[in-house]
Amino acid sequence: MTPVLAHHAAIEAIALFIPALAIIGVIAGAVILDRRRAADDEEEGAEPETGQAADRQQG
Amino acid sequence: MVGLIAEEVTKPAGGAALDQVFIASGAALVLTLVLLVLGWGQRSGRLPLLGRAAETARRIGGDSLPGWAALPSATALVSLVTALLGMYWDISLHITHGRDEGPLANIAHYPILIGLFGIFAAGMIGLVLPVKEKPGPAPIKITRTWYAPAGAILVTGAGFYALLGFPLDDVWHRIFGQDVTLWGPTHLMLIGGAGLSLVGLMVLEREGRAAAGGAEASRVVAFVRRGAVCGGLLIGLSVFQAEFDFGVPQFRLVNQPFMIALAAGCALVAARLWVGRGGAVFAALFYFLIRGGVSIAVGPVIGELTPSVPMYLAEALCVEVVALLLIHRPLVFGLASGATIGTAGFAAEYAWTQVAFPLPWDQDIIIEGVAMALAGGLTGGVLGAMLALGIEGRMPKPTVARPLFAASLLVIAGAVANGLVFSVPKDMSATFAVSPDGNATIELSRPVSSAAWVDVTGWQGGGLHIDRLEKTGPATYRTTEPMPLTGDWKTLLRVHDGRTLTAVPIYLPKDAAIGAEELAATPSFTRPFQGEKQILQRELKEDVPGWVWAAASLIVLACTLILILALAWGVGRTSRAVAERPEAVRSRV
Repeated sequence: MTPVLAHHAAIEAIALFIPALAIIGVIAGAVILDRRRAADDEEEGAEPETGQAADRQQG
Repeated sequence: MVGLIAEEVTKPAGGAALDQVFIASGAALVLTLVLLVLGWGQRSGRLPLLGRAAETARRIGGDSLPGWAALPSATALVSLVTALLGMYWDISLHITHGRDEGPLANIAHYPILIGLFGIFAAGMIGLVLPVKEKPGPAPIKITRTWYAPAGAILVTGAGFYALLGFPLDDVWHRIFGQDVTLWGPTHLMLIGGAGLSLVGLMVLEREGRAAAGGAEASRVVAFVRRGAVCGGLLIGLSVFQAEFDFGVPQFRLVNQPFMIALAAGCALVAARLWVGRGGAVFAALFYFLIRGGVSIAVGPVIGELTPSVPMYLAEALCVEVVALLLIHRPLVFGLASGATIGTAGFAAEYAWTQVAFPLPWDQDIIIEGVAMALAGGLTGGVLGAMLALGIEGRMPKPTVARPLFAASLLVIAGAVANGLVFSVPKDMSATFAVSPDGNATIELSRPVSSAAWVDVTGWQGGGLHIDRLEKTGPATYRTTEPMPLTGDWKTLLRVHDGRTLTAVPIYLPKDAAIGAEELAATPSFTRPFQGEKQILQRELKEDVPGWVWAAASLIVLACTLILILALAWGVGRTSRAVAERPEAVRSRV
């Protein structure tokens, strides 16, 4: 069989880059979900959920 | 990273690769789940393990930083040192032994992988830690109830940029073949992301300090913490020099003074402004301790090659002296420091290379070397000054800062481009008379004026052989020790004179994986000079159109510019926020 050059960066990309991408994907999903909920809240005329608690804590 | 470059030979595309895919997939699954569970537990309050660890880190740091700054900073610094050790160990292994047996077969890869992922994880930890608060003066809104410190996002971005180097590296190798050099574009992503994460850590430290409301534990703690971060930045900016540290640079020697001056200008000027009096010297000592420690660990302790270490102490003293006169005019201080680094610093490093480096600087490079060092020192000084000013909320007006930043990047790009330009003589050859013991006399077809180096280099045969040849006549040389001419060694004559960078292969082994035949060293032979790349990077494919390489390089360049601009944006945002917050703590300069 003809020897081939194995590309180890692919293995390392699977082990490390894919998890990083997945985690960023989850955060991006949370951001999108939050934006949609904010838009829904505004459409329904409900008091939008804001970062007031955080604001109060921050002073 | 030469090691992360290397590919494996002779393993057929079959079961072994699948095994590795399974192992890698398992590791990926575990990493993803652990980080997601820790993040979810912290955000929801149901499993606040990260919060508890952050509290511990805050207490250990003397309550001077909130946990969301203390824990990520500690995690990132440990990760950076781990990656640094792995990087130099890995490079050493590949210089001496060539390619790996398999993707997971090189033990030095593990600290690199752990370290690089640790940097990304440190940023993520800082991102998820703050709950029900807006962290620091410049928080970034993630959702309506979730704000993250800008520094944590910058560290995450730098870590992600480094990890992005893995898939791009793989694609690069598949298109162009293996590029056995540290300065492959995707290899620079791996190390550059780690090095530049220090800027994010500086921002995070400043945000944390502002949030602590002036609760400095002590001036000593603040001095040591900031000095260590600046020393870390010096290390991060110096990793690009590794080929020169080992004595196997594949680029012109004038690149080395440029990179040393750029790193010194940026990190040491920032240190003096940000840390205070003695900050530059402390950063240089911290650099020497960590970077020197890594050299000792890789060399005498592990038993591989010992990479040399630039000194930087003279440059630090230059910065401290200039500060006595100009510290109250930071940009002028940065420029003046850069000028002294490019001249007096160059002279000190010139002397240091004579005793500490395998390829010492030669008079051949003095004029261009000083010019390059001045370019590096001046731009580094300006960038370092703006970095420190930005962190402290004193960034110059945009009409000043933006043109300065753009001009600095342009000068750096110009200097790098100049450093990469070299020529290969088409009418030059070398005649070898090899004795049975491996020594040789060598006659060049024409003399070289005052070469930066004329040496025989052998690598990848179980060690590293660098023999600076003894000149015996206008164009004749002889070896001072026997050349390695058997087994897996790759041995060549290298000549670097001005822009000329060229080599003659003396002995090359058969390499079935790339279909290369053995080139034997017969008792006498004459061979033409050729580009070093053809010898040192035998694995490169030669039939790839130039525009493909240009397009691929542009993609990497775009990723790099995005990271650099993101860091600049983060520093600018923090600077504006700190300036607007009267309760923000200002450190003394």
